[in-house]
Amino acid sequence: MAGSLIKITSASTTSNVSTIDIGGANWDSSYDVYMVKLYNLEQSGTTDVRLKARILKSDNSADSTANYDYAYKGLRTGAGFDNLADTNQTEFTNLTYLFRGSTSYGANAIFYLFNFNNASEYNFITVEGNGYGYDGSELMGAMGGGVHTVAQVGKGLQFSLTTDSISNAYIDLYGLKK
Amino acid sequence: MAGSLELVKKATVSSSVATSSVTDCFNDNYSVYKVVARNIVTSAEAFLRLQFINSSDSIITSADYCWADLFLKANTSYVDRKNTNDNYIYDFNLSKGTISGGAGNTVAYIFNPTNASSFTFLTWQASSIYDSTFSFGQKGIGVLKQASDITGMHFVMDSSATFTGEFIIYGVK
Repeated sequence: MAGSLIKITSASTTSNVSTIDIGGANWDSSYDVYMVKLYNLEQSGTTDVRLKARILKSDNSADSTANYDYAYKGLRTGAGFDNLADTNQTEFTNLTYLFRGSTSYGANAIFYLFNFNNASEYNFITVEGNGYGYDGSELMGAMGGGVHTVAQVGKGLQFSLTTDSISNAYIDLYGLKK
Repeated sequence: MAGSLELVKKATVSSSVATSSVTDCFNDNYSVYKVVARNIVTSAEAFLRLQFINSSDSIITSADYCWADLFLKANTSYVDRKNTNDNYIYDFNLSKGTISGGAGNTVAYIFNPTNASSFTFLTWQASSIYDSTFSFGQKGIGVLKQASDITGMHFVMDSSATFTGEFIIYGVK
């Protein structure tokens, strides 16, 4: 029997880039729900940074309007957990954490995307991700959801970091068969 | 069209035991795995703890596990739990199988297990019953702070409890 998690496209980098897109021109609108797998995410510098994302619009450009709302639980091993929530932002931020650029550390995350092909509905996402090495030795991650409060078609995500470039990343986009 | 969620291994623990290993469930064909631990029936309210097995078939028992999870309790405040240098991913599942119908369940993603240049990361979510009849959920993150080639998992009950259950491992191609 054929499976129901269908790989649509992949994106990767092993050199420094400020942003990396998944979907866009390679988006397949056949599905209602999508999954994005992100692993071995590393940054160019040695500062503690966070992963951000914007919705790719129907013209494959990133939507930078202040319509991103999100609420995550920031899990961490070195202190009490954080409530990471904000409204009317220009991107989803705090999606997960990435620390110190060590090849042994890195970050990983799984996203689900909802309603991206419905021009009458908002684009919703969920995230679960983590990274190791904050302040040298702390594990941190985020779990929660977000919405882009514009009723429009979305065609994927554009990832970036709070500072530094993305120096390494592997990203796969899947559709969940109807 | 072929799917990208591929069954790698299914292991059933049908007789109640204190520990159980699932060997050779990670390989170089995948970078990310989905692990389903279902129908976990425990002899007492107890944690099912996770350790990894390396490519030499040795269970990694050193204090190199770092984890954090949120207990979502139906009848009271949520609880933060964490440990920076543990011998297990302690909170992989918490179940109270002595309650009829109270089997617990966990779904996890495992990242980079066989990459000997990278730590092995995981995220997990769980749902079960605690304290008689209260719904209970978990959202967790963890890492094995060893750049090791990981090929399997070892499950260890705490509190001298035993368990039965099923582990299903998928590769996310």
